[in-house]
Amino acid sequence: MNEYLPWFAGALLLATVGLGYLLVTGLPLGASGLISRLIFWKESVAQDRSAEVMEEAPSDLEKALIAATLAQFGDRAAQMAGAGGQPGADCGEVPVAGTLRRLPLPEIVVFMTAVFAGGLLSSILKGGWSPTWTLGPEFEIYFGTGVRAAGILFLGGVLVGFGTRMAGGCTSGHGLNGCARLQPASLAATATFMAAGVGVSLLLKEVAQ
Amino acid sequence: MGEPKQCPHAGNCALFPLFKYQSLLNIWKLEYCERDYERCTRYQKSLRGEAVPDDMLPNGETISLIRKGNKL
Repeated sequence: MNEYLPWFAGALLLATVGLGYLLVTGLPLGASGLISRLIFWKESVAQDRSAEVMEEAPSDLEKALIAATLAQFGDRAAQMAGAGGQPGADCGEVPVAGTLRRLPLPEIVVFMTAVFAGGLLSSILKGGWSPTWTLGPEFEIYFGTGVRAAGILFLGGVLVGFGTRMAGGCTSGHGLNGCARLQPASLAATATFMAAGVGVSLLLKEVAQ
Repeated sequence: MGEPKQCPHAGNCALFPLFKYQSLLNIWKLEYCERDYERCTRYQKSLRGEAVPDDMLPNGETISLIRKGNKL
């Protein structure tokens, strides 16, 4: 049987991790977003590169944007800008991608390695660690063993991944950070997956009895 | 008539601040971010869970290509 920390210790630890991550990186923690950036690393590299290009030469960017605007909208752009709307006259410095900081890929690898190492260290300190294929007696009561259990586990993983991408975040992004910042989408997402989790648990318990 | 409905992704968009503060670029905001944000390529890519390059315009063109085309 697993021994869990008292709820308040867990809450304090999670708050420390969430706040620590924010202080170190300047970004809210969201594990699924980090994993997604790692999986689609080629797109992530291209995304980071495009941000660098934009930050390197803001005046070139402004000229390119004005050219693109005129190509797309023609005189309408100038008309809508008004008689006094000279290109660049009202913006001073171009505000480039200032709100879009992303964690660089090497730092994501460090974060993931630290998550794995932390889990391993916790297991070892708890009294030993050994590799196992079983998922515990409770899982076996509900789902059996072997191929059937593996299939159900895989299906569960797919559903979690689907829900996470659909909601734009997981328990860390929505549950820890979004709820702490009272983001309506995070409150709705957390309420939904908590309710679904409790509901399915109760249903499984009924079915197993 | 109510306020124009703004794209829900505007707060995380790299280009939105540019469209907002530069009067000549304001037309992008009016045409895409407010009037019909669902046709914005950036919005559509984001909904599909794809990485959105910072230099991709709402019409799907990239700024770097435009820079090459204009020899900037």
